[in-house]
Amino acid sequence: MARRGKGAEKRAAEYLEAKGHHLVERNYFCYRGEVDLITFDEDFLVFVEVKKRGKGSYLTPEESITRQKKERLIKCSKRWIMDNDYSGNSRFDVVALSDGEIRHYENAIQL
Amino acid sequence: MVCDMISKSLSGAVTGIDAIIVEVQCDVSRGLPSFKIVGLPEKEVQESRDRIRSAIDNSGFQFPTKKITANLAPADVKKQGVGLDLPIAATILQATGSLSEGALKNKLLIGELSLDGGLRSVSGVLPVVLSARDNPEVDSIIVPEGNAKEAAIVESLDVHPVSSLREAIDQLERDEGSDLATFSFDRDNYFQSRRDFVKDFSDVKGQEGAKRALEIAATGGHNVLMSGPPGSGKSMLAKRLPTILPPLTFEEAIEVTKIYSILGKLSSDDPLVTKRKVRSPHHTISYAGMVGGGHGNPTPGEISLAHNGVLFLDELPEFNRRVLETLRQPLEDQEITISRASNSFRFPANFTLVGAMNPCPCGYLGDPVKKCTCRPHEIRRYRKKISGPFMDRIDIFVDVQRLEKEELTEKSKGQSSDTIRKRVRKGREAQANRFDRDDFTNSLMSSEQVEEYCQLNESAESLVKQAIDRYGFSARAYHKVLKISRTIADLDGSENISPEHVSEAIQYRSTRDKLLQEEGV
Repeated sequence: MARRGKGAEKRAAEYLEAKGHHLVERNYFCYRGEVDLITFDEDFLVFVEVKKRGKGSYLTPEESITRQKKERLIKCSKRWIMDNDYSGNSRFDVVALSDGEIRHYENAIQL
Repeated sequence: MVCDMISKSLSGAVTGIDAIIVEVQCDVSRGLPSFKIVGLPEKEVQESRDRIRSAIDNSGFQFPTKKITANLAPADVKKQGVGLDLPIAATILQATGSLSEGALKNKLLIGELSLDGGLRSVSGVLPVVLSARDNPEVDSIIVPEGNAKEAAIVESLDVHPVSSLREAIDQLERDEGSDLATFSFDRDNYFQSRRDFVKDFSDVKGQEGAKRALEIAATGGHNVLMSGPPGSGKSMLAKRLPTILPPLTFEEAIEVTKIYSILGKLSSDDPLVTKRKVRSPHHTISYAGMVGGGHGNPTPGEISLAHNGVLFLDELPEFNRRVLETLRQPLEDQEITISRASNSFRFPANFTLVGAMNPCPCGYLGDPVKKCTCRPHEIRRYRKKISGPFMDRIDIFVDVQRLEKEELTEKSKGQSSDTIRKRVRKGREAQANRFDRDDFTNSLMSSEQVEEYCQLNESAESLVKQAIDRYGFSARAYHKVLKISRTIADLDGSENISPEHVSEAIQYRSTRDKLLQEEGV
């Protein structure tokens, strides 16, 4: 599982960098949860959740982001903002991978 | 930390019968993207967040990826109504620069957004506009097209109807330089042209006694109870009472329209109530439906919808007793007070009550042809459903008998409403001169006023004394008889109350005993 996730995150990071994002951090952990990727897109700090679902999965990756996952993401991002004294714009993006396809949702999660 | 822009606009929210002017403040700042509305928004205002988000995106703007806080000041009054959608959206757009600074100055905005950015009409526009008129900060208002006429009833404010969020923003931007074409509505012409009734008293055959009773009721503002078998014309008569009442004045029409506006009973074709209304709620009506109430800020009920008109309660004994008892206060005070822990709300309820009932559960007691099939205890139970104190608030009791076949087949028409109304108006003028007020009627006289204005001569007095002995009138009943006599004399154009006036009045009172006692059982 973990290995498969790593591959997906790598692909997502490459995809975002190709789109003009600057990678800030991978797999940011805090005791409340985890943020897969943190990037800069122009003047936005972006917290990215990467979701991958394999072939034959019952749910799409987009559907499998639960409320709990969102809450963890939000809490963790607040921690990062505090630790880094950041005061600019920020947003949450989702990158979904399934069947070799990659889909990027900007500003997918709001508080 | 950079200080972001705060934008403001004005709107209104209905509380009770009036509206307060709400200042919508919006702060769009950097931070995790979120959208919050504070300032005691009720459920429908909370939900506006999703409408606003979609409407902005679908109107060719971009919903900001920022931290948005909207505040509705004053923050300690509950805000109800979807009319706040438009002002909140406009402040967000101004805070993000889509609308220039100052574009919202002295403007009041109201309207519900749909997801595609269109603007829908809302209820409660008239009370908001009336409050705006008295607020020096407002000089023009932006409303949905469907509410334009209703808003334009109030003169002295410029009304700008718009059909979508995009149009509203374009209008506001354009307004900076050039003057907008304002909406105009010939309210006086509309008011004058819509005052004729379709129904007429001449539609009702026979029943001269009941017609006379309603004429007296219309003149003196008395409450009436009609009793009679099914199909005798009680409902027909009651529904025609407004046609003989004096026409609504413009001020009265505004009072009534306000209530209809709050309850969303106006339309763009029908923005002003021009005629006195008859409300005839079904007997299954709830307590809150009758006097008003509900969650959050209470809304007016049927008795307020009947304000300046007629409340017709058909099958009176079938009404829930608790519902009928709540009518006692409004019948005395011409308004209803609904108290909540936080506040109390007063709704106007100045109506003429017309009740209708059958003499017994099957309806045919005392009928010359059909035989009554009720048991004595059934009749007793039926009549006991209306309490004494409630009955005391009714002045005129009439027995409406079934029509004879000669009357039914009669071709000639009875008196028209216009003819009766002329007499009623004369009677009302006499009262207006006496009390020096247009809206005061004989039925509202205090006991001191009864002593002063209802003096009887000797023969009239002896007649009343006989009646007291015979029917056992209480002090209240005695006063009621005097009030009705006064009204009858006013209709007659007579300064003094004659024995004939008194005897007619006694007859309306004594019918009460006939209706309440177990006669014929």
